[in-house]
Amino acid sequence: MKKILIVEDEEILAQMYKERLEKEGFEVFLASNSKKGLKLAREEKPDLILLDILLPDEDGISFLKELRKESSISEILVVALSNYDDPKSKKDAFSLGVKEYLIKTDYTPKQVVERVKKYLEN
Amino acid sequence: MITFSLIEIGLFSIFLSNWFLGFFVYFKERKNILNQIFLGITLTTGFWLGGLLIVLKLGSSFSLFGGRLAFAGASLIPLFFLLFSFEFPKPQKKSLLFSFFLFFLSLIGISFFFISLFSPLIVTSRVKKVVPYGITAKFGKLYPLFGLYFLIFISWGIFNLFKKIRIIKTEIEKRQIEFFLIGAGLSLILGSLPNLILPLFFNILGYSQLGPFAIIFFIVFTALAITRYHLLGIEVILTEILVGLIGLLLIIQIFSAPTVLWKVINGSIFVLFCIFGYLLIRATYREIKRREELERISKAKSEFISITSHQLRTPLSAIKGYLSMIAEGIYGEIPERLKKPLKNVYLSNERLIKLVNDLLDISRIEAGKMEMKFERTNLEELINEVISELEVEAEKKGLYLKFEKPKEKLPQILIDKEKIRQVILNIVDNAIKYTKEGGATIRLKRVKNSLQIAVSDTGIGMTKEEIAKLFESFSRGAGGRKSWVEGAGLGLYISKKLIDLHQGKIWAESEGRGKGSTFYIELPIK
Repeated sequence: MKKILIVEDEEILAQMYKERLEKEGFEVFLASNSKKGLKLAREEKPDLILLDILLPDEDGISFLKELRKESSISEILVVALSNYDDPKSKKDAFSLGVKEYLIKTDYTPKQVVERVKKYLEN
Repeated sequence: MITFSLIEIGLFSIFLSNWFLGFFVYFKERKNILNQIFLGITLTTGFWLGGLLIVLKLGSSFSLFGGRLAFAGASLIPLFFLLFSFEFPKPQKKSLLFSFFLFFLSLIGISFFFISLFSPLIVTSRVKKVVPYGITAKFGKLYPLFGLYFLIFISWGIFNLFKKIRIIKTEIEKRQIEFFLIGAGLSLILGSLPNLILPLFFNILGYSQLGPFAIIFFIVFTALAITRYHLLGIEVILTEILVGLIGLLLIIQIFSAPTVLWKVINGSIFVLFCIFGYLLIRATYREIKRREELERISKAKSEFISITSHQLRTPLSAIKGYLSMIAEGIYGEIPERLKKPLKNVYLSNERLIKLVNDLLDISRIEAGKMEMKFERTNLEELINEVISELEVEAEKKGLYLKFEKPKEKLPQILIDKEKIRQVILNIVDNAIKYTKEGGATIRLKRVKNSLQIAVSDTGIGMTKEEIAKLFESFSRGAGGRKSWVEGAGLGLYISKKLIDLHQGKIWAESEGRGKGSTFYIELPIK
C-alpha cells in the first residue's frame, strides 16, 4: 500500500483529502505543521507528500528546504497544495523540486487523487 | 570703513547657514547620534570657514591663528565623516571592542585638531593671501601625515556607505544614503579642484578660498538625509533650492544697488518673490503629500485583497471538496431530487471561487505586480485548446462552436500564453453563456502588424450604453451606482488589463439587443 503524507494545518481540509485518498486505498498520515511533517516523513518514508505552503511557525518552503537536506527523505515526491497563490512562493517551491503547485480551490479531491496517482505511476 | 568682497560675503553666509543647519538638525532630534555627529560636522566646518575669514579680514597679526584654526577645523571633518558612515542610516548597537576602536579613531582626529591649533607641526608660519582668492602657508613636518589621515578616513567612510547600499532594504534608507553620497561626492569633487588639484598639478594657489563653497552641498544634502526631509519627493527640495538661489541673488542685488531708490525697488521685488516663492513651495508640497497618500491607500487596498482572498479560499475549498465527494456518491447514493439543488450549490460556489480569483488578479494588476512570462506562441493552437475545453459546455446547450482558421500561415507571437488563454477562454465562455440558440464563431486573421481574434455569437447582444461600460471594473461605476453588465463580473475588466499589458486592443461591437455580439482582440506581432 502506497503511503501519502499530508502536511496541512486546516483540520477540515486535511480530513477531507485523507478520506478521499483512503477511498483509493492509500495509507494516509496527517501533520498539522512543518515539524510534525518532517518527523512523520522520517518515520514513515511516504511515497508522496501533499504540502500546504502557509503553515503555522515554519512555512512549506522551509519544510522543503529541510526535507531536501536529509538524504534519507530528500528524494520523496512533493506536490504543493495551497491556497496561497503567491508568485515568489511558487518559484521557490519549484526550485526545491515540487512536482506541481496546485491551488486548492481549482481542484476537487478527486482531481487531486488523479494527480497523485499520475505521479506515483511514473 | 571695512568693505566686503562678494567672496567674503559668500563665505560668511555659508558660515552662518552651515551652523544654522547644524543646530537646526540637532534640535530636531537631540538624542539621535546621527544628529549629534552632524552638529559636529557643521561646527568643525565652521571653524575651518571662520579661520579662513580671519586670515582674510583681520590682517597679518591674526593670520597665523586664522590659518591654524582653519586646519584644526578641517582636521575633524574626516573623523566625523567616518563616524557618520558607521552609524548611517540607523545607529548601530556596538560591542565594547568596537566602541574602543571608535574611541581610538576619535583620538587620532582630536590629536590632529590640537596639533594643528597649538603647534607649528602642521601650519608653521607665513599664512598669507594669494591673489585673487587664495591663502598659502608654510607647512610643518606632520603635514604629509595629516594629508594621509585625511585621505584614509574619507575613503574609508565612502567605502562603508557603498557597502551599506547593497544590504539596505527600504526605499527611504536607500534614498538617504544616495543623498549623503551625492552631497559628499559633489563637495569632494568641487572642493578638491581649487584646494588640491589646482595647487598640486598646476601650481595655482589663488583659488583656495573657493573650496569652502563646495562644502555647502555636503551640508545641505546630509541635513536632508538625516531629517528624512521629503526624501521621496525630490520636487519639493528642488523647488526650495531654486527659490533659495533666486532669493540669494535678489539679496545681493539689494546690497549692490547704486542708489537708495534702487535698493528699495530691489527690496520690494525680494519681498514679493518671497511671498510667491512660499506659495509655490507650499503648492508643490501639498501635491506630493496627496500623491504619497494615494499610493499608500492603493497599496493597502491591494494587500488587503490578497490576504482576504487567501482566507476566503479555505472555506471555499472545503465546500467544493465535500460537495464534489457527495456528488461522487462517496457518502451513499444521492436521491434524484437532490441532484439539481446540489449542483446549484456547487455552481454558486464555483462562481464565488471565480470571483475571488478575479479579485486577486485585479489586486495584482493594479499594484503592478502581475508577473508576465512572454514566450513565442502559436495563436491557432492556443485557440484550439480553448475550444476543446469549452466544446462540452456548448454541446450541452445545443450550440455550435466553430473556428474559421486563417488562410495564410501566421507568425508565432511573443505573449504570456497563460494570460492570453485566460482572456480567450473568458470571451468564448461569455459567448456561450449569453447565447440561447445558434452558437459562436471564432476567426483568426492578420490585420496589418497585428493578429486579430474575433468571437461572434448569435446571443442576446448589447446596447451602446452597455458596450461603453463593458470593460470597467464595478468599483468605478458612475456616482457609485452598480454599473456592470449583469452577470459579466470582473472577467472583461481583467481581460482588458491583460491585453493592455501586451500593448494590444480589445473591444466589442453589437447591432443591439437580440442581434448578437462580436468581441475583438488584437495582439501586436512581436
